[in-house]
Amino acid sequence: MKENDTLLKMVGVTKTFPGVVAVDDVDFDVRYGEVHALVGENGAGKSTLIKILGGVYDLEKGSIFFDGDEVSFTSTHQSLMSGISVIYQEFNLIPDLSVAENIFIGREPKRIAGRFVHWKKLNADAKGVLDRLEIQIDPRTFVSDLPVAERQMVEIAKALSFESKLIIMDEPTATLTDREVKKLFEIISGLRREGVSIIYISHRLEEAFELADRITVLRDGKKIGTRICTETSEGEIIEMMVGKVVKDYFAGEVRKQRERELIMEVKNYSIADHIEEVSFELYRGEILGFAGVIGSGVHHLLRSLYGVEPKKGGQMIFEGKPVEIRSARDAIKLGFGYVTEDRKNAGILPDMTVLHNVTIIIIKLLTFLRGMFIKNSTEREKFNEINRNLNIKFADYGQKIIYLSGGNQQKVVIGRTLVTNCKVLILQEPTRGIDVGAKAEIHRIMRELANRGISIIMTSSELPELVNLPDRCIVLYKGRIAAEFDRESMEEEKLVAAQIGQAGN
Amino acid sequence: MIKFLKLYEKIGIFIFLVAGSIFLSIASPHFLQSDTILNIIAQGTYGAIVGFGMTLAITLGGFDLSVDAVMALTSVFLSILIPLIGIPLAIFISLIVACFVGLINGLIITKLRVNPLITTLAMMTIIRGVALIVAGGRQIVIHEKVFMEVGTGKLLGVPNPIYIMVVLFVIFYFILYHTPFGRHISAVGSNESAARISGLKVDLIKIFVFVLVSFTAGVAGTIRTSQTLIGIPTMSPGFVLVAITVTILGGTSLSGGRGNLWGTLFAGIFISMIYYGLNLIGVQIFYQMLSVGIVLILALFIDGIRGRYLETLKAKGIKV
Amino acid sequence: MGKEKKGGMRERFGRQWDSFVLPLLFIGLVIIFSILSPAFRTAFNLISSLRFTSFIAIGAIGMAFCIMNGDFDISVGSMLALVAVLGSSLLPAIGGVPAVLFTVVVSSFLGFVNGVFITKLRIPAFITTLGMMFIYRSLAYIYTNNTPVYIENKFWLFLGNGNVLGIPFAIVLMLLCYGVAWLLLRKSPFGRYVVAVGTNREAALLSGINVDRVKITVFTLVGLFVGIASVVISANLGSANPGMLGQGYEFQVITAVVLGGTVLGGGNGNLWGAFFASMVITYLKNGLGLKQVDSYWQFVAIGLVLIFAVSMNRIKFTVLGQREV
Repeated sequence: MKENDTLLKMVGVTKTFPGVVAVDDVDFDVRYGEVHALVGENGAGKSTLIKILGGVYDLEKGSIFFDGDEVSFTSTHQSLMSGISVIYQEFNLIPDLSVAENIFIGREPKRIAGRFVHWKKLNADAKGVLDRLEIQIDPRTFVSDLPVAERQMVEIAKALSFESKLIIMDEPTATLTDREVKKLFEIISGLRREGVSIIYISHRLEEAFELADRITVLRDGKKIGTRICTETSEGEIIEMMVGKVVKDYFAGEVRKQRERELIMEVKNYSIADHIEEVSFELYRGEILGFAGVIGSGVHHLLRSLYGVEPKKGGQMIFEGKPVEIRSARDAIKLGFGYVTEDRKNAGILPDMTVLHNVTIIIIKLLTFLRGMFIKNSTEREKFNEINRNLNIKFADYGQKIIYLSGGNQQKVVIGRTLVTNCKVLILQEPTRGIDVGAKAEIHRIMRELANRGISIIMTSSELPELVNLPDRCIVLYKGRIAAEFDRESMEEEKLVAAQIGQAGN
Repeated sequence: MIKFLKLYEKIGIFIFLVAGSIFLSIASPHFLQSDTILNIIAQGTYGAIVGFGMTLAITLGGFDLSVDAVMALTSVFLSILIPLIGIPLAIFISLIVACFVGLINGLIITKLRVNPLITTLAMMTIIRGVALIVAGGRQIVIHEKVFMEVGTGKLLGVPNPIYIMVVLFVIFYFILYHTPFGRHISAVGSNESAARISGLKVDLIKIFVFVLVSFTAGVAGTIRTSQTLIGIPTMSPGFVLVAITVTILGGTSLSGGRGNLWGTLFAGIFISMIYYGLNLIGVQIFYQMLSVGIVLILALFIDGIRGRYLETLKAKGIKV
Repeated sequence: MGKEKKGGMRERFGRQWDSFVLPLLFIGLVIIFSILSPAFRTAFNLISSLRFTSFIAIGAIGMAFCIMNGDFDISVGSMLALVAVLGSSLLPAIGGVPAVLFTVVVSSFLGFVNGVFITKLRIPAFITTLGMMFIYRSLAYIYTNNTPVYIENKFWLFLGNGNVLGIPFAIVLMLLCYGVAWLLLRKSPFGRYVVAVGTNREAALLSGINVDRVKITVFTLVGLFVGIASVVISANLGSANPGMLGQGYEFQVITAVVLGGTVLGGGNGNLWGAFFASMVITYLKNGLGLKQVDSYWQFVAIGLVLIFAVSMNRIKFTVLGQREV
């Protein structure tokens, strides 16, 4: 059964969502006073696991033992009261309140018949907690005035103030500078000395190895293995994350080598706080992959190329001419297409039909009387034209897009870019949230488009996709180019290594 | 420059107030007399009082458009109840009625999940209708002259409404800045989901705030009614504009979480100063409404420009 | 295909609901009133009730576009009063046709100004229009010195009271406006853009739509239809009263649009629903009056209807599984 030094034991934990098994029969344990790193690719199940511990999701199968008792968390509050604090990537802090107020929100010390806030005690208590962690922040500062790194420390102080026995940190260093990371490590060591256990989730393996006692690898919802850090190597961990066998059904036929014709050059692109001096080239008919973990800046770079985010500096040369793209319209006019990764909130037009979702982008052209009246027949024609390749499954032309499956919705959004006969298509996470069959279809579509001469820039957090689809892959790390791979040199382990800052390996 | 832009929220209105005072003292020799000043402040009390409530509502992240209807309702109830049960009890019951309206607002917003704007817009119409029905469409005269003391009486030479305003200010100040409840109001307005996750009872907080807003409207309505001794079911249409302008001008942020009670107080006085200035010029009463509207639009304009400027700075990478 | 099917059935039911519930509601109201009041039975006249409806119905068109686009405009009542007094006061000087044109142009311009303010300065529409509401109203008072403007010009009066081939011109105008609006909404690119921006602003932006321009146009349209409605109502009344005209108008118009099935958050809307809802609201205003109930109850009634309409939309969404707002 359980050893005496085990704080948390998860046995056979399973959680599914419609269409996907997020966590599959996972056994996981954490000891008292241990720092336990949890690693895995996106979609491996890490965030689902911590949400179960945090009381956000219910378990489907399996059991959890915490501090000797079997528990089941039905609310975030309950999980917190039991002694588990979760620090999510998007902090749950109140910007317009002070540090002390945030730490003790809802539990403020009171005076005068319990009606007024006892500021002295509140600030003193907060200072006490901050001091324990050796954090130099004035508890009276407003959180909105704090930089990200210090906000994180406030979250940690908050967790400590609950006397949490287990603190879970999700990608804590994603947006920190090296110096701030060092400070964080000091704090974590301090916590460990106090007997607090920490689950540390990160893509940065070097951090995991520096901090953690043990490290557990998840992949596709399953636990692959747990190792003691001193008895393993980064190489072994990467292998476990990636798996020896590369999925076959993503391997398409090797695309024909074509003459390399330059279509776009990006020079010295910089975006405030996110991207620093990135330059690259794009060729006609090629699929260029961009990889990078949170904080690498990939997302911002692509949005900026499409004109949706302002850049601080840099130049783009498109088809030989320097261009300035300041809005999506500019980009579309030049021949860009863009499919966002956030399909629900920024991709689909929920209250409109499948047909309209596709044609909205060129609707001005499908008219007569100089742009006044829409020609329904032309509209359907155009839609059917691009649907020949896409094969979107829908009930009738009047069906609203929200009733389609994720895969079909994605096809619609891609279809929207295709009706413009774009030359460069930017696809962010093209197969996110889509079942395997649909994934393969989308890959087929992408390959066809590339063969027809359309250049595709894609990002993905799924390794097999990155390895199999693109002709080249550029990896960004902390806003700069860390590595570039072409077809031959691309290997999953190298990609992962580069993303987490181990480009040299 | 950037520092100034950031501080503007806190001290902007104060600068206006000072500038306005200087301007008025030059324009009129009467201005600097204590009588005049007290009068101006007294005129500003209604705006300030309802402004306190509105400040709480906006800090919460909501709005209450029904305040002038509540004032009218209070007025009507007073005029009917005073002859029946005497002044103190009538005031008490009328204020309870006002709070009750706030309770309904809060319930519709939290339980039916209707957005606060539409809710209070609808309630405004409903309550005006109720006021008209209860009053039978008439204006009701109050014969108990004693009641006038509330709104026009003076204690130690200072008009009573000023005392009421100061007392309410102190109460609301303590509530907003020194009680857990008040801090939670700011919390909800600042980041509602984080507030919820932190275990705060968001719905209860919202309901209570709306009760408080209507309460302030009830108080303002009581003061007004006592000054004219008439229960007017159509009282002060458009007062909601003054309340919102006073709040925004005072520096309370539209996005919630940052209530500026001092600012509201000063802004209430400032608006009164504007009325005084208009009187000097001798314009009709309609210019009052116009000027308040213009002040609001100007305040929003400045806010908007300030916001966009700071945004462009951020994009250039300049630390803000 | 399983998911598609389920969505299909629920979805089809949802579509029917939109088309039928309002006309049914309206007919139901007529029946109830007829039973309850003999006076109503005799006075009921489809033609005249349609004529009265045009006032709210025309204004509802602009507001429908606005709400579909994700905003709303509460300055319309005051705008109505202001342009009515402005335009009608010029009648003796410049004549009927120019005055009417002037009215409509000015109201469109005021809408345009609203739009610019909201888009370029990123101030929420509600608070901008709140401020404008008071500015317009007070300008109306000031300009007319709080005295109503009496209208004698034949052309202007004709627009509200005249008949064309036996049918009141107001009805013809209303149907014309709805026809144009429908074409604009369903058959023109602009209409698509309005809905797209309302349903998902970010996606619309990414699709290359000029969100700001769409919004400004929408607010200008609000102004345009307000101008038309102002001519009709002031013609009906024979005067433009700066204080009384348009009181509560914004409220009635918003209620009509929401009751008609357009959702407050933005997205696809129901123009014909707004039309029928306008009739319902007009009936609440006048029908109750005919029953000799205290006319003040109409305020209460309309307020309750608005709250009911908004809650109903929410329930419709959860029950029928449509998009959550």
